[in-house]
Amino acid sequence: MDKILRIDMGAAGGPKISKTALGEYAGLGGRGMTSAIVSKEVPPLCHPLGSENKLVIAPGLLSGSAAVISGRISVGCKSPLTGGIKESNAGGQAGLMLARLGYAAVVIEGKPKTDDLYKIFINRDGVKISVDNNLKMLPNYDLVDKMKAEFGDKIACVSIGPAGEMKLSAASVAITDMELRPTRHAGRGGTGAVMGSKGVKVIVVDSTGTTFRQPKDQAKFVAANTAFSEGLKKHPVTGEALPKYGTNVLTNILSEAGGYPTYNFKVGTFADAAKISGETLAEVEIQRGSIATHGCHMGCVIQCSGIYVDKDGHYITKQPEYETVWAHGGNCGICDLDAIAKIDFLDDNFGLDTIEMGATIGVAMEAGLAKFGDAQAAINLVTEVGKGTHLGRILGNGAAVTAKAFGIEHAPVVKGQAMPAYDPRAVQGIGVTYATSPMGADHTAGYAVATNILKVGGYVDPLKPEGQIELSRNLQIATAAVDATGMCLFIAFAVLDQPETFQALIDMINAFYGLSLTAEDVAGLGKNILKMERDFNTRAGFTAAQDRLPRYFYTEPVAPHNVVFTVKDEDLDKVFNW
Amino acid sequence: MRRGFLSLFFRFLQTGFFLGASVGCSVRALLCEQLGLDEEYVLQRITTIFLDGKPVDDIDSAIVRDGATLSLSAAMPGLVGAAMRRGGAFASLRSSITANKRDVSVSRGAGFIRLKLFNMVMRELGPEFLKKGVVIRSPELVDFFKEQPEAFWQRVPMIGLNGAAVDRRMLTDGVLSLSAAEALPPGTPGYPRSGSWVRATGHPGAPAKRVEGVPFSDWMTLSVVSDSEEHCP
Repeated sequence: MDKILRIDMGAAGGPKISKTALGEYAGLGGRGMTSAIVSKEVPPLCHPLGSENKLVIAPGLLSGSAAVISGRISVGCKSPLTGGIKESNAGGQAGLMLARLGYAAVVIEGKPKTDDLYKIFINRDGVKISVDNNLKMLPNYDLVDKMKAEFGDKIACVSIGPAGEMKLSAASVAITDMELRPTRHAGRGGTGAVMGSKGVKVIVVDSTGTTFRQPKDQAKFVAANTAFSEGLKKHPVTGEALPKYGTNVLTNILSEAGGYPTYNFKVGTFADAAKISGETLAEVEIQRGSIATHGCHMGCVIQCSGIYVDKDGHYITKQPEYETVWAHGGNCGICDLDAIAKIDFLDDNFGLDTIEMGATIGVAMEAGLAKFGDAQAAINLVTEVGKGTHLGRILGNGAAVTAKAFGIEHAPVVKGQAMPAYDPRAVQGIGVTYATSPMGADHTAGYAVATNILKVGGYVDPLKPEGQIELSRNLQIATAAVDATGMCLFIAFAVLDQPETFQALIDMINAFYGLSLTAEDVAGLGKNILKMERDFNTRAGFTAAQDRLPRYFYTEPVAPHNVVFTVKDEDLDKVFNW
Repeated sequence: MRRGFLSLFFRFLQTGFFLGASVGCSVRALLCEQLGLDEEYVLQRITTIFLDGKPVDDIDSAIVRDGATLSLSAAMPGLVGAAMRRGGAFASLRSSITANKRDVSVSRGAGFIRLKLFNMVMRELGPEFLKKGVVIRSPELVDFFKEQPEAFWQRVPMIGLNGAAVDRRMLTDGVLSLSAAEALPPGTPGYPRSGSWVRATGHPGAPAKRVEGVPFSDWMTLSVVSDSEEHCP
């Protein structure tokens, strides 16, 4: 990964391709790369859909190497949903293919002067960009079929569906998986709308003829990679729970804890949780002859995904994630797995963030557009978005816009972005991260990496309530660092409990790049990323007032524990004091 | 090997079943002494425990009252999954809902608790509970049968009710309520002696003990009988 591909969509005479050296961006990957470029090159006050914004697509530091589970790809820009900086990452095959082709980032800049729609083809021979207006308003699955027919089946696609073309703020960027299906999405923050504003429908990547990126120290890298892989396999979360049941294994737990937002965050437990739990989902998949253990990209050793089929064994969608099952399930009072799977397919096909759409449908249900629990009505509402009806365009711009349009106070958003599947009144620590993350309400912004192992911010007493601020700070730092590596965040669980696995990760990075990083250096990387992101948001006009939850989380208790969010504003303002 | 027959009924382990227990004891005492679970298994495997919906950090100080709901899980993913873990590094993130000693003032004695089993714990402990029989509400079982697709019935050829074989349509069409099962004569022809099948037993005439406000006579013991080697998912 020694170069950056830049495509100026607004250049005179048509899109202009250039390849530049890494320069000041050397040593960055994933979120580190996207946030550095956006922070440095995008005017913070620009319109997210204007020519000054840039869409940055970057594989992680270890993507394209033989490192296990290193295929995440980051997509960054100024977000049309939040108005701040955005990094959203996904699995799938594109990250590792771009990395093998030597690209540390693809930067799409400018804006075409016509309404032509472009496709970009990247392989080892170079880059081609061409107008293809036949692709207009194609859903992702149909689009990928067309690309397969044109370029063969050794490709990966980075694409937008109709939602991206309509520049809706809930639009995602889809990444194809190992089966060449557009099931992995950089979903959050409306990255798909920015891609749509650039007139780019799809980037087709073909890494045929390339090999794994080679480490500086092969022997040490192989040893560290083996130790890391074994660490993941032996841990009960990464080696058992996730492969068996996927992320949706959390449904029962969160509902039991009273932290499962139900009926648009009205209550914290869902009576029908067991009908849509990960345990039930896996059982249905297997009973129907499908698989409940599957990876989203080559080299994944956790295999937390699966394939969801109908009663006759026909493909519906990939195994929906916990967040998706919650958003379109419990949050809307829906307990029909087939319906939830169908909506997941629609989201993927139209190119929509499942969290934002589920939260939006919840708001719409509270507004009376449909009844809670009415699965067909939810399907109809998502279909409206895909069709681009007037109602669909309101819904496709997310929960905050929908709440405003229908006069609803209960919009579960921070910085305009919908909260994920954890009620911050029951789990207050995650509320701290929702409130303060530069990304808006985001559960992955503060994931579980070994706080005390990383030694960022000192040791935190796990049982002290006041430790929440420190924990959120340290987790956000650690998460930013992991997001830069291209590693799936789910490695965090093994790293959390097994110091030797965490050391193996650092050893792997060091062996690959010939470095001698320490845990403190990794934390430093995370801090730098957050600093850049916070700085961008400040220049975009964000203040402490945006680092707050909606007021009703402070005033309306959530059952069954009847608790409100109690973290003080002055404490929230300390999260980034390091 | 064919997929486990028992796993068809795992829903009841997730929604919870009832157990007679000596209450007023610690969670550890209930799990290890009354349910007979290996202490090492409890400490190493059941790393996430909820008592009445509250995450438990200390299994010695958390006391099980009559009518309590106890939920057992292995280690879970995600920040919140990790936060729920017993005494874990992220316990403070959910301190406002944590179970603690002062939550309960209970007396010792005989009672009922509701037990829920999730994920790996369900897979590992569930089959034995299902074979021995779990007490659930009759309507829950009827609703469950009504929801099942044809593929389910191809695998469940037989339902025995209080010693009598019953046609599934009698249940799913509402002709027969499970609590009325005692009206059937025991020993109806076709009652299986082997194979994989489902046995439900009503509790007519049981003491007027009420659990969660429901008369005990409206409850069933569901047993899943399987003489083939089980391979759970």
